[in-house]
Amino acid sequence: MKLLVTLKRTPQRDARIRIAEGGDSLDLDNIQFEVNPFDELAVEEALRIRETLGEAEVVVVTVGGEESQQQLVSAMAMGADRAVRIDGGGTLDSLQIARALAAVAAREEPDLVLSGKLAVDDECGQVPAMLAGLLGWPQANQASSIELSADGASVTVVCEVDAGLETLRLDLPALVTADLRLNEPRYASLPGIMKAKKKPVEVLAIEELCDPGATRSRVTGFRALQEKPPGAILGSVDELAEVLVEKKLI
Amino acid sequence: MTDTLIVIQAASGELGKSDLSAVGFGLELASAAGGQLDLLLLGPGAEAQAGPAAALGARQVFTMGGAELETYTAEVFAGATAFFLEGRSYRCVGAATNSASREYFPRLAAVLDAPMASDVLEVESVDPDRAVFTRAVFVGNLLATVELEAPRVLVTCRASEFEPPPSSEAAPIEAVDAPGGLAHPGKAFVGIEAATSDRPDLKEADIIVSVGRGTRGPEEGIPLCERLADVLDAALGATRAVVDAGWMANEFQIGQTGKIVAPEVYIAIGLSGSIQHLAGMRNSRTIVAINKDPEAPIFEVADFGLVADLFDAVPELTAALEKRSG
Amino acid sequence: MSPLIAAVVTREILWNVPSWARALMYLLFLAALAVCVLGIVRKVRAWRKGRESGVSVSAAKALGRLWRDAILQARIWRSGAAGLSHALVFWGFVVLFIGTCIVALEDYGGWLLGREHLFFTGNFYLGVSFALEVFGIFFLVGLVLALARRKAGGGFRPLNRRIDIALLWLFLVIGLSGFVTEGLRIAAAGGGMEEHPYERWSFVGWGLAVCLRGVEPALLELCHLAVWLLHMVLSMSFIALIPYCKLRHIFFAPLNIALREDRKAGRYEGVSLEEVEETGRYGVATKADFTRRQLLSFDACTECARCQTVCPATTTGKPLSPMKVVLDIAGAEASADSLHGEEISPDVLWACTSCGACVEECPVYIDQLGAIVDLRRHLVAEGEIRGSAQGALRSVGAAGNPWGMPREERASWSEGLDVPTIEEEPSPEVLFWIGCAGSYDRRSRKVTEAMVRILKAAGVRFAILGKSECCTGDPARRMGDEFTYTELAGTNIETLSAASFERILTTCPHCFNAIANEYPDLGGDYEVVHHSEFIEELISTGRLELDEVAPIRGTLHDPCYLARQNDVVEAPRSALRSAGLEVVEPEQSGKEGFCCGAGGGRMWMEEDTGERINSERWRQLQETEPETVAVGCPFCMTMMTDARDSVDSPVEVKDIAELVAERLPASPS
Repeated sequence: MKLLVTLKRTPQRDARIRIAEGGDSLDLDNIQFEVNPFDELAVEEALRIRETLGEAEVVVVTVGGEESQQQLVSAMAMGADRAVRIDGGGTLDSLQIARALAAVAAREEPDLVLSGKLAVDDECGQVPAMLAGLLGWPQANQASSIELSADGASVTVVCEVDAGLETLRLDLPALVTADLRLNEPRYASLPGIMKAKKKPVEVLAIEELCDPGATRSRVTGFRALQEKPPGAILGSVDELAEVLVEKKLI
Repeated sequence: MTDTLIVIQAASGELGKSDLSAVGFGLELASAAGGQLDLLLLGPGAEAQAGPAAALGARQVFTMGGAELETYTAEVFAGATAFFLEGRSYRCVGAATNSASREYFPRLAAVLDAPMASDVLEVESVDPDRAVFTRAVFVGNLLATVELEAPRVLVTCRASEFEPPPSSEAAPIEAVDAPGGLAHPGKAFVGIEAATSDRPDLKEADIIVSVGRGTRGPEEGIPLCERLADVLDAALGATRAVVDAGWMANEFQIGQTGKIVAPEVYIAIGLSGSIQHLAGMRNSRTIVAINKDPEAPIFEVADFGLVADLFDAVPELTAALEKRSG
Repeated sequence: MSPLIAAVVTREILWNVPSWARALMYLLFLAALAVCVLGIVRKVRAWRKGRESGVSVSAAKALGRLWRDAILQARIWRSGAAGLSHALVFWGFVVLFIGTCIVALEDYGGWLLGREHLFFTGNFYLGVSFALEVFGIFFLVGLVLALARRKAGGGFRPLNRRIDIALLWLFLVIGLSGFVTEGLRIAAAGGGMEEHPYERWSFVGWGLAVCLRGVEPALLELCHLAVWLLHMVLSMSFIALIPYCKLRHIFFAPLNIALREDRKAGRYEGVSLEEVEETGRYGVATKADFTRRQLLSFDACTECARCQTVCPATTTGKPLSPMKVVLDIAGAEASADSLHGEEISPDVLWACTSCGACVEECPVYIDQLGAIVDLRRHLVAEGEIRGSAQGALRSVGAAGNPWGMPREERASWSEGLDVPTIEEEPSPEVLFWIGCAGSYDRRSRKVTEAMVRILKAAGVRFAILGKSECCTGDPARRMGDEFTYTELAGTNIETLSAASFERILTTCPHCFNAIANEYPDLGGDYEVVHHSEFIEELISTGRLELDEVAPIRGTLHDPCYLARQNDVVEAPRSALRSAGLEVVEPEQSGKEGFCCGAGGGRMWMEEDTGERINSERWRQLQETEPETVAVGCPFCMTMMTDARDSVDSPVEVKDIAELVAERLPASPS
């Protein structure tokens, strides 16, 4: 069985992101990056599926520049077998990324694609569903549990939907996105990273894979939310109720 | 190409509050583009909800039901919407952000080859070749301006940011037949287990009422806080000390060794604010603290603090908010 | 019988033992020796599978250690009744063993030289006989005491009660049968006791013989042979048994005592990144991943259970017992795939607070903590560190503090306090190392601020690193992530080496331990002083003056990383007394203090099994009926405050610096 996990390089989860001067980009100079936490859940799940099967290949894929290599290494340090990096060059929108991933999926022919439900930087959560749409595969979003059937032909997925927990059965190949409660990812320790550095990373230019089309969605500016005013000590319960309602907090 | 279509997932029952807000959002889109709004209701409740939906200021309401749309799946909804859009031209196709639109809208975008903006907070402008929206990024810490350059764009909105429209004259309703073969052969809906708790999940709640040792336990202060949480439709959280004391279950614990949360409003009651607790909630948008000790460190991070005995203040606040929400 | 027999003051060796019995004795002796040697060889072979480790102990040092810890039993004495009973048995055993050797020398020497007597005569004979009586009694009394202790129950939880008690009985019977054999010999040999009045020196045997007066000599001889046979067979079994049960410590404990490495429990053995890269091996998965010296030390275990008696995890019902970990390792097959499993589970390993009480307590110098850390390192290598502990590790790596607070806010506490950074005060007397808690934790910030007030009052030229300070790496290292530790330590050493200062001052014993004991291994040599020592110094040199006040009753909770790991015991007490505290000691204090529960990365893990360690410690401290509980560590502060709050106690928890700062004379306005 082959499992393909898509992942994204995102700023470290505790990092405080600031807007660069001018307001049209972010100041990411002193920011450390990591594997998007939801994608990390997807990697962990793939590894667990491999552990239950005893044998399976876990391939991680990302779309990004040289700098994303580190995140592929982290995923391989956790245990993924090999990695594919699609070098996009310039800004790509979700659909372009999904197209590139679809091309990788067509080449790799995985049985299951796992992704995080969204990336914690732009919080769009578009790519996985677009990828499923492009591939024409069944999809399940925000999984809190994934169970492979005994014959390995389908997965039963519990999804966290607004109304509760929805159970779906998908025939493979299929795409599933990971939500917070899916698992607790293992730690990518340095011995793992050392081993991972010896694992293969295939680098492909996006043009080699597909025609990505034009970039039609882009972020053109950032605004900080209103700077938090210093805390105010209020005089009475009424005042507090007033403030809460007035500021549309509740 | 100036009109807007808002797609509503019509399960059984009435139109939801977020559906109404989505219509308000659709009206904003339509007016920004200089066109009109149509609504498409998908699912078993489409016919029943069409009447009320028609009175919200749209030009026309379409309904689509049938066996395949009985239960929601992303594949069916994306397919049905794509089918509906065939031969119809809309500038914007929108919906409220929810667990369904989070998956079927991007799928639809791929099928239609249209760019998409997710969970927008504001509509800035909709020109013929460019639509500009504002949305939150980085756990809501920053606002980003997103520009979509295409004649047709998909966009979902955060319902709480848009007002339901006032009622207006009834629009015509037209039933559209669903085509066959929408369902993906490789997907089966097994079942759904409704959420058991009356309160929202800690991780997802907009408002959290968090209780500390100062509440003196389930016999004394905690019921007062639960009452407040009910009025606010808030989730209930607790400090480690409260969990350790056995007053509340482990799953309610917020903090470094518990859950890490970032709601819009965090109301800390009778808790001092140890660093372990702060590590779990400091990214909350607005922090309100009620504590009788003015030296409590929670006041240093609180946006609004009230130095008061919670046994007086919490019931008073509950009553005041109840009165206001009337 | 001729009265001439008594002309030479001695006794006939192997009297009344027919040649078949003698042959049996030699046969059994050879068999027992073979079994014993085989057992030892197997152990040594198992050690040799371990990683090589150099021994750098001089002979003089080794002998000194043996004198102190083996002969004088210095460490064993620390626990009252058990120490006494072991010392009695040990000394009794040693002297009886020497006695047996003397007898053997006399016998074989005489036979070799063809002389009837060599030296075992006259006054020497009498002296040895008397000594053997005395030490034989020691031996028996020690054994009876040991049995009584087990009967009484209490804190002692041996691994296998039955074997433990059986061994004591074996010794008891060997000892008693020795005396009985002697009594029967005195009664019957050489025409009866009247012929050998000098045998009175063997007073126990003499006494027994007196009781046997009038019994048929033939019956006495028969009984003598029977009891002798029993004594001989049991003694031989004992020899054969040594390597196969806890008795093996007879050989291995002195060896470990002599060869042990002299290393503070708070100073961990580093890991070479190159070696990890080369071998892909990190931490301990199999027995062979331990060093030879470590493997030897595990076999030295006496199963005395003192480590688990003092262990805060074991005491509060956690799955960890340091003794069991040691014995599980010692008992594992050298060929086994992995030591990790049901017995040595992640829960067992993560339960350790790294307080070092076990290491401090172990009478034979086993480093249980080192073993646990080595095993933890394997878990880290396997990624088996999850949840909040993993989050803390990531935050330490990414944000430079375990709470993931923004780097740029590290020095926010100092705003408006007029605290110079190292850039503003380039060559200070002390560089004040704030630590993560002191920088971010609002409670600990108050301690930092109090220390600033003290420094200013004493006119100390000091500076802080400001934003360039970051976590020392202590939590990462205790949790077994050597790489994150090395990276952080490297960054800090670079920062510190670029600065110029006389000493580093810190209010955090964990920072203290890392910088003072562990940074030197990475090339960072600095003089570090804990604030309690520094305050004490300021007071004693007259630089700091405090107001006199009526003393209040208080107790001190010793931080493990200060008292136990670094021997700073008196300074905090003295500083507290100067601050007007009447310091009442809890039962466990100083180097024998009981952990707060937050060390070893436990600060960032849930504690959901058993009693809470901090609550247990709080209970212990409350026995002193204090008005104030003084602490000297931000972790202890959090843990003690939480424990206090969980019982709604009005007792104050304050840091030493805060208590001292409260006594600063009001500045002249």
